[in-house]
Amino acid sequence: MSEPEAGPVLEVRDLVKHYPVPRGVLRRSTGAVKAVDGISLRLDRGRTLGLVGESGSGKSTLARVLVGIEKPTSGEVLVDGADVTRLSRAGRKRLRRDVQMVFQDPYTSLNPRMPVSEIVGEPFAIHGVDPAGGRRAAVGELLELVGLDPEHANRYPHQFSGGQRQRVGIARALALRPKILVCDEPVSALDVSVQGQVINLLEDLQAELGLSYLFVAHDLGVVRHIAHDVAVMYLGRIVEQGPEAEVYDAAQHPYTQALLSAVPVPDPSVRLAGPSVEPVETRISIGSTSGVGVGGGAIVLDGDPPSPVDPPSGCPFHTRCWLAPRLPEARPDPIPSYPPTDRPDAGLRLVPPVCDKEAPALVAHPGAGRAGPAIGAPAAHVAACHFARELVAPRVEA
Amino acid sequence: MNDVGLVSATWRTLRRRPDVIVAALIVLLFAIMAAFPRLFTATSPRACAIREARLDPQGWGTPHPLGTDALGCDVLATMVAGVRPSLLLAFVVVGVSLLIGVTLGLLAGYYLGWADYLISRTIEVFLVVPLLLAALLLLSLFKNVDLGAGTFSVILLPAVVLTLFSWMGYARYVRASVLEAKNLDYVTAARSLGASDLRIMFRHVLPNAIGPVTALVPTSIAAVIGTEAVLSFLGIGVRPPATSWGIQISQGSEWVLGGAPHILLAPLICLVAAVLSLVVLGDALRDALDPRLTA
Amino acid sequence: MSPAMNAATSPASSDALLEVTDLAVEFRTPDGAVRAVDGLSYRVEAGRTLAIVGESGSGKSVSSLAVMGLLPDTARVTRGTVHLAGTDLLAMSRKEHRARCGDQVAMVFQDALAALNPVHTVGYQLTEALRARRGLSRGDARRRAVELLDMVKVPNAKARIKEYPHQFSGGMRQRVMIASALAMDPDVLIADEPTTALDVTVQAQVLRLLAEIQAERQMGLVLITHDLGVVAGVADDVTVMYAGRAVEQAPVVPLYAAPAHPYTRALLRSIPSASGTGSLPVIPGRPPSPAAMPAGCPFHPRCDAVRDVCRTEVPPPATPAEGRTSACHFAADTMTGPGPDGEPGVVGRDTGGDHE
Repeated sequence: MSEPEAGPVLEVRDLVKHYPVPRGVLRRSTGAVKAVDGISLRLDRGRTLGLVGESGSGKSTLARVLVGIEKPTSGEVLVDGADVTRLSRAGRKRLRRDVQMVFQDPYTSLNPRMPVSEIVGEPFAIHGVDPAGGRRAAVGELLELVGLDPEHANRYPHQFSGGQRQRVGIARALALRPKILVCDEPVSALDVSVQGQVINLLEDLQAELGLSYLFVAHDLGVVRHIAHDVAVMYLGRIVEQGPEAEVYDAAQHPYTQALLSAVPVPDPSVRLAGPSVEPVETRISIGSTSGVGVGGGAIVLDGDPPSPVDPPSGCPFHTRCWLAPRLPEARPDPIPSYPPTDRPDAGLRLVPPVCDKEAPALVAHPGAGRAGPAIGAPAAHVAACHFARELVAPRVEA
Repeated sequence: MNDVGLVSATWRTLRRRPDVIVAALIVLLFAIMAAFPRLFTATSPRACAIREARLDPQGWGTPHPLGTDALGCDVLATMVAGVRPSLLLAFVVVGVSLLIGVTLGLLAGYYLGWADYLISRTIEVFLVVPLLLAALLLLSLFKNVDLGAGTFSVILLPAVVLTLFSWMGYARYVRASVLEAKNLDYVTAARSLGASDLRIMFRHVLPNAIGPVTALVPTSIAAVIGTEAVLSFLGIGVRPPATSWGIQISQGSEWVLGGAPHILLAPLICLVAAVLSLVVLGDALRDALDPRLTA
Repeated sequence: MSPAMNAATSPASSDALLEVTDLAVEFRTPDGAVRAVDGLSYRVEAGRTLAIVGESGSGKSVSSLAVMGLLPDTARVTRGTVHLAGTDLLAMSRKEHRARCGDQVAMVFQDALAALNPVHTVGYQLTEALRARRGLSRGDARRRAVELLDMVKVPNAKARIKEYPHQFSGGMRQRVMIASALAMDPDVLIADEPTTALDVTVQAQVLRLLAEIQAERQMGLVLITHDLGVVAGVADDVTVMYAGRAVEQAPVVPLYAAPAHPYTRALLRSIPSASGTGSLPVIPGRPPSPAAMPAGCPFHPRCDAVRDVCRTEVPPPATPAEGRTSACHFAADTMTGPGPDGEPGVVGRDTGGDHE
């Protein structure tokens, strides 16, 4: 944050990652899983960008493309201004030193047959780096940096607890002094009382080493705590992006709003699943800054996210959107054959025509939002919705 | 320090299991038998008197402690003489086919694509071609080649034939475990660090994929010894006058109901004891080498 | 039966569907017996939800397996009773125990994909128990399967009973699991981390579904979870477990307002939220291994309010307020001390909880 040179350390432009789906006897690929479908991002030096979304939203694929495990189908990934998707093999290897990854599951991300000293020292071996003072000393320093006892370097992963293993994983990622750490759900496999320790460690390391984090998680509380900026993904696209406070307190996209309201709040006065379900309209006051929130119920979305093989036309969220069917624009012209019911669960969902025809652009909505896009702000608050508007959703806080 | 730690930890684990000690002693016994057959019998396996055919076991200290076989040869002497070729053949065949099988299985499972296609089809071809047919073919090829009578020479032909037809199982097992292991997070982690394919294969994938294969080894040793007997009928088994357990077992089986079961039982018991000991040792070794199972 | 626990669990209505008293479970390991659950007591009443909260290794799942008679062979119950509608399940043979549970207590697991058999259709699995136990005909069984799927709001139930588990999404599979748990009309449903593997939006759907079904049938629900957000959202009563023991038991609202055990307090504080951007308050160290339990209070090495007595004496259950227990020597002090937000918590009347 107090880095001398500001500016993006990582920039992603129109990144696409499709996986071909082989079908039929001839195994010709007739379709593709559109895991990442045109994403642009920017991560500034010393800052943390939180990437949230449900499983299947493509957030983990994006993380894997960024660290070079997967090759993008198209698009650009700029690290310090250099496009790494066009690099030679040697260049890519060099890039990997700048971008490292912390994995979700500390139980599977460490080779059970290697002692910790070898796991943490492996980056040196792979890149042929000989740190000053020797690899053994460097491993000891790394272990100390992440709060482990260097004396334990000869132990095997199974001799450590989950939180300690995650520290080993972080030490391995830090070995080559990267600029960017891509953290893929780094605490979701840990116990509650240990999660905080790892989050604090990541924050301390950021302050100490000036690291930039891309923090992928489904736990919105954790992201809110650690991230400066937040991007919300749905079906391979970013639907909303902005500074953490803006996205959480003044979410504009109906998906973000639903996501935030579905997060269980550790406050018994907010009943998540009360048996009495009021109609959504009475609990949501569109465009107002008060009313909903604590004491209100959750916006519960119907069904599961659609398949990324065959995403819905137009806005990818329109099939589950709670807002679209309630908009005045969703009312069709009175046609005699018009079915008598337009309840969203009655098999017929009416949404404004624009929602299923046109994909909304990720743009700022000046009318909405508490502050609007501030000039000179590090990241503007943008949302990909034709009808983006602020809604005060139940907060994700104690 | 690390190696010493591992070795001493391995020893500690082994010591706690008496079955392992017994198994180790049995294997050691056979090893000594192979190296110094004279320690166990003074009789030559070739000193056969047809008058003394099918004598019952006469007890320790007599000229024929385990009796004689159908040709009057001493059973104990034959058995002791058969240890070296039998075990050598078994270890050579299993060793070489492990090497081939693991390499091909690793390549197929790791790279998939055309490498996998090629290797998988090859495996199927070898599974389809009957062993005996191929053995006959080889026999005709090598009929007039004099291989000499050294320890290796007597087992060379059966070793080649058996190796050709026993690597496929390993390859398949390794391929399957590699497919599983290569998608684990620690492999991805190594890849994201920029590790080379070779490094990933040999440091990360293979050590964690080899487990199920090692369990196959002791029983394959038994299978090799048994199959060698079949080959010996065709004249490409262990070269006479050298003998083997396989030959003894197949000869002895003819006399089980003819009043001389000891001809079969003596080599068979040795084979079972050797294989069971190897099973126990293999298990213990696998447990001991797995850091997760050592305290 | 420990009198303090019993007195404190809930207002003395005696219509508990399921009552667990002083349960202790041990695991046999090469290094000797290890106690996984130690003196756990709770009661589940009709139409109420009891949440059992704890970290991995706290014994929360093991205790429910003991209730169901599903403990692995290496584990055994060494003490305690489990009364289901008045009869002690643990006094029965294992077979009778499971049969009784099959009828009246059902369980939902975290991993629905692993809990469903991949080679049978969903409809078959839903009605397997019904056909075996109640002798339903094929047609009746199919009708019942459709009914069950309708009940858990799986759309297009008639067609979907013919599908296999892998054809369902995670949320839908968890609904199928719940449906199969409901097949025998249980009085008590034990849900072990039912939503942990699910996305938040789907989690909300499933939790709401559970609450609706429970209210409709007046079932007793035991929800085992590590997520204090979920607990606050759905539970009526809470049992907080740590190192095999119930460290705190209380109705949900007072528990969150004024936790009476330092562990509960620390857990509530450590939830990441917007309130602070600085360092998260964390619980130092990690839960003790059941094989190496510290002397005295099992939480004392991590406790921020540890005193000398904690290191040597196991705290007896205290009753810091009506309807609450806390296994802390200083339960009353904890409750009246600074609350999770650093402000004084709701003051509960001290009813002699300080057992020093």
